[in-house]
Amino acid sequence: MADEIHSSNESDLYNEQISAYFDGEMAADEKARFESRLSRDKTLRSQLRILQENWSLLESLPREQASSRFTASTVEMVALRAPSTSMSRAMGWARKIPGWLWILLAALLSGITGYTAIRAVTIMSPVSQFLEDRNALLLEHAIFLEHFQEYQLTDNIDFLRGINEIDYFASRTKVASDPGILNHKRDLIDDKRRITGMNSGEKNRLHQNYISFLQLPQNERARLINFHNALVQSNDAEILAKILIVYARWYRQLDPLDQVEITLRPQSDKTEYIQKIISAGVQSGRVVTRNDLIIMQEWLDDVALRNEKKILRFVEKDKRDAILNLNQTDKSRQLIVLLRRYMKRDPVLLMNSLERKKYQAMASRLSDEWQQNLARLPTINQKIQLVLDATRRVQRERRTRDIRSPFDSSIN
Amino acid sequence: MSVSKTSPKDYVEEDADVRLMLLVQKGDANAFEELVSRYQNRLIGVLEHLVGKRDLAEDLAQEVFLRVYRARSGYQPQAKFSTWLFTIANNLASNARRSLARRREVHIDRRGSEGLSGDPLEQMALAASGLMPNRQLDNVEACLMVQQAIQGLNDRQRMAVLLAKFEDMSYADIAEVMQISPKAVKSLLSRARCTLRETLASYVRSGKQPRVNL
Repeated sequence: MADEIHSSNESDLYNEQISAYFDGEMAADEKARFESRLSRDKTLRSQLRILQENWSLLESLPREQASSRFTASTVEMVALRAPSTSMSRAMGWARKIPGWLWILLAALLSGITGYTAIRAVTIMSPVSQFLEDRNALLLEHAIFLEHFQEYQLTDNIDFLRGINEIDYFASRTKVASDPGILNHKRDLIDDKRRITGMNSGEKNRLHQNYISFLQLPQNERARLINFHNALVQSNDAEILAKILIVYARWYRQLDPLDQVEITLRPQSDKTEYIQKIISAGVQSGRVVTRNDLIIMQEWLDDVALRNEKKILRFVEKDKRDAILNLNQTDKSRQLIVLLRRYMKRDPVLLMNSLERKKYQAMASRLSDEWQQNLARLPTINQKIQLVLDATRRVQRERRTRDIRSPFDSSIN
Repeated sequence: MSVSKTSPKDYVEEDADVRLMLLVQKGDANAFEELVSRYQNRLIGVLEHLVGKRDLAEDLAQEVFLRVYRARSGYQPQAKFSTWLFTIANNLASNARRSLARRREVHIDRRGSEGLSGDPLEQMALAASGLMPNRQLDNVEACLMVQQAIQGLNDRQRMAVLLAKFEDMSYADIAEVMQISPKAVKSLLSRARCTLRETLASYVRSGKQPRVNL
């Protein structure tokens, strides 16, 4: 019996060690001892592997999503119920009052209580407080917050000056409009009028910037504020403000890989690398030719329609029915959009042998520049993104051409 | 999962959610909304595993956020925000389970998996009918097996497993949430894993449904 207990304790200890090692909760010396034993003991290795397998099986548990109204209903519920703490404390002594007196008091005070309660909920609730707080914050930090995203993409003023020496940016800066960063001395009343005149989307965007700003580490927040202050006080503030906006616009339309590359590079060779990307863009002619675009678009239509069932399997019934009722062109467009989204979840969607052959056939028909680009981009998803971006660009240009002012049509 | 001693000042510096909570303390309701939005899914996920009912889990999650809001004036960043939040959630879930037990409610976990809905038994029937695509079938099966295996753990083991797996908490943090010692957490997790290994062994080897004592 004693042996059994001893053996059970040993087994518990053994399992605890495996578990703690797996969780990275061992002290350094204990870990070294365990690893040395692990290298010698095949059974131990096997048990660790089983533990890993079982633990990763837990990944298959569904990740719960709160209902769409959960956030709003929680905030509303809190707005209504949170002030009740002081109220409930105050209600303690009320229980000692005789019933008739309570009724009398209630009758006398009902009007006042009702009024006060409504005021308490509407004035003190987070919902209305939120609106007041938000406007006050926006008033105080509006200019910085409007350009917060751009500040995040840049390192410091010297970097902007370096960028300004690249022709590509300098030429665009000359024609860029005033970004408004330098309006820091403008009248507070004007600011207030401007902010109250914003629609909720604009206000939300600014407030979202504010929340994102608060999530940054202290030193990063300080850097951005200092950057902003240094920029508005510098002698060449006007040019720097414009270059900031022009650079941010250019950066955002880069391939994600290039964006990462730029972000990770030390400042010393960042400008050089940016110059390289610009030159490469000019030489390789990244602008998609009309012919290539049509080939690629046809291929995508084809892939999306042939994978229709697979793609629509991920879609809710209402949406699926709506898509199935569309005409062929609109349907394939919707399917391509869904294809991109679900490929992240199921990357092998296009990887059967038939799809691969079709893809190779399509790729061989494209121009040399396109083929180079296809080889350069690592994933099919990014290739599709490229086509979609190009399609969007063409459609945008077409729309711009097609739009006639009402005055033009009346003249015609 | 490393154990580290952190001062309140460090928590403010290291934990963005603590900074949000400090804004809530100053009356910024938007920061509160942001916290709700960040934690709602995680909280509901853990609570649903603990109490076994989706609607009750949502109610409890709201109650957790209400308590967070009510506690804002006295809030001191003595731990990571998530640790504090799940401590409240753990206490509320324990009370709810006790109350359910008093009412002698016996539940069978009837959650659907992601992208699938309805009764797990119906899903199994559908799976068995061959009408479901293979990949989906594998996912449904694995999900059901694991759900049942998790339900086979005792309440404390289940909580420790959920916090370790889905919240990536250290033993020290789990200990704080569950108000036990880190050594006890180590033991809880180890036993939970042994139980999971035994329950899932038959499934992993042969694909058979595990036997679970509900």
